[in-house]
Amino acid sequence: MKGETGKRRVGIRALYAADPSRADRLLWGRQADPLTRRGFLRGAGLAAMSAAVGASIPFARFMPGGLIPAALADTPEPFEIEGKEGLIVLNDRPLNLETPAHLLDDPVTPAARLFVRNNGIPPDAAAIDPDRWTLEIAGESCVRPQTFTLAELRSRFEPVTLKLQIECAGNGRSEFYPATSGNQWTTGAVGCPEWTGVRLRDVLEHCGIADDAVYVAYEARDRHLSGDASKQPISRGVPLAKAMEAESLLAFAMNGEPLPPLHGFPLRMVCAGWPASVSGKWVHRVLVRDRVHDGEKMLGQSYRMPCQPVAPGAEVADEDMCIIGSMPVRSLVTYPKSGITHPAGKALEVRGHAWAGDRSVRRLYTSIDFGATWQRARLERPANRLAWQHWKQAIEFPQPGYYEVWARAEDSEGVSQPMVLPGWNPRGYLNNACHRIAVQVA
Amino acid sequence: MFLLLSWLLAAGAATGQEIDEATGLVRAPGFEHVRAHCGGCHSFRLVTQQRADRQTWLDIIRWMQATQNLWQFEPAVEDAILDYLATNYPPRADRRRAPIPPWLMPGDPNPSP
Repeated sequence: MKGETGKRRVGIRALYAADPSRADRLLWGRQADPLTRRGFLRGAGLAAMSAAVGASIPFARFMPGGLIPAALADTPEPFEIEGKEGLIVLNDRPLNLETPAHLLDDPVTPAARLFVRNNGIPPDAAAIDPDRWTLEIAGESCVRPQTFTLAELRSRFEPVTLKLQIECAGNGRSEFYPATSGNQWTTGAVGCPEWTGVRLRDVLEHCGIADDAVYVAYEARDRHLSGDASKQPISRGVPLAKAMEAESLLAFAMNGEPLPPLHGFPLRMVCAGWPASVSGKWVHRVLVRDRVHDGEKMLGQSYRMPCQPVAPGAEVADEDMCIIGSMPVRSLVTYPKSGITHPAGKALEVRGHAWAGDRSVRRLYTSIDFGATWQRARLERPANRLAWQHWKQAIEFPQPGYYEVWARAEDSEGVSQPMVLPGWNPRGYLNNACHRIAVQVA
Repeated sequence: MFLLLSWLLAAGAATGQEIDEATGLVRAPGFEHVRAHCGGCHSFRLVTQQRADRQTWLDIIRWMQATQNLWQFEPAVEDAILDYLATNYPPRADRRRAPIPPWLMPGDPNPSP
């Protein structure tokens, strides 16, 4: 590779402009499928690209626009992820993808722009017959355990369509120091699609909820990474009160289409505002528990924060870790993309979204002087409870130079995003530090 | 405005590290052990994206052995793996909050699409 091109000074843009296929081949040894112009023909170039992306997330930006940015690094088969253009690949087994902030600009997140977080191996979508998929409602505190087909769920219960934001509890983890273990998300493990399904509470009430019910949990059809069929990759849930909210859904559609395979086809839970891991994908069983659910990734340190604040790097015993509930207030600048040059003397229209777990956002501020002064942006009401809220603001820069636009949301209880990192914790959850973009005014 | 191709090819190897093409791992002492033992269940990307000190790498291994069906290592092999990981994937420099990263800054010759 170096021998072929190393002696010439070639810009990567020029290289791609001249011949994208050749550029792919030169840079990555990559050959796309000649028919679809996608994927990696016989896996060619895949390891090189994965290595570059994995070694350093910045390299993800070098991926050309039309490329399907991920694959299973060690399968001999060509592999592509349909409809995930522009997402950054964090880890490919299990598959995890996040979305750069500027690609989250849509008011309703399209499937192609929604982050993917998997704990196990998704079921084979081609082998799923939605007409034969069943949902069992069971558990110690379910009075009348029973099983529904998807058609029965649709016909017996009122359909509901809501815009609901889901966010990985580890979104922002990459900023913590000392580094914490897990997918090194930056800001993109969040999205707000429109979900259609039935209310979890309607189904649970139909089956009867015993007085001693405490928790509602899911079991799903994804498989453990080790291949051990006796192990579940993840089985989490929420307290009964959260499950009974009008916005907690058993969803079978996203943005008017059946759920995409990576997002839980044919059935998932959506309990917005909590760590997205409670919104189980490929759900086939819902348990009404008489105790706090003890499934995979409920115990130990998973999706838990220190019950009391700790110093960076502290060791925290399992019994001193508490389950995460509502996610904290957070916002993104989705336009413009960080790094632009903006003409002096002209206002810059900045916009984005803000959300606040179970709460709503009441104010959104921006600063162009590193937090010294803040200006209030126009903030819309949510489309419905637990949808993210859109904000925008025309910013005038006093003189040419380097600026950072910082966005800081304040929730309905007056709680704001911090400007530096919030409290360190062993697994690197809940980093809601304000989002920053860089703008050169010239 | 052009990013130099030669720079791109050398990047990721700012410290002169050689990257194994098949796994994405740094080629350094202990590499063979990591390649043999650490790609059975998850991809090597899970390793290469991570930064941790020796004790934290050991904690991760113990956790996988306790809960994820990872097998036990000979002590010499375990030492070699830990030395490799702690040397080649150490924690980043200390900070309360890092600056906006270079690839999101103005004047980047090759901003993301």
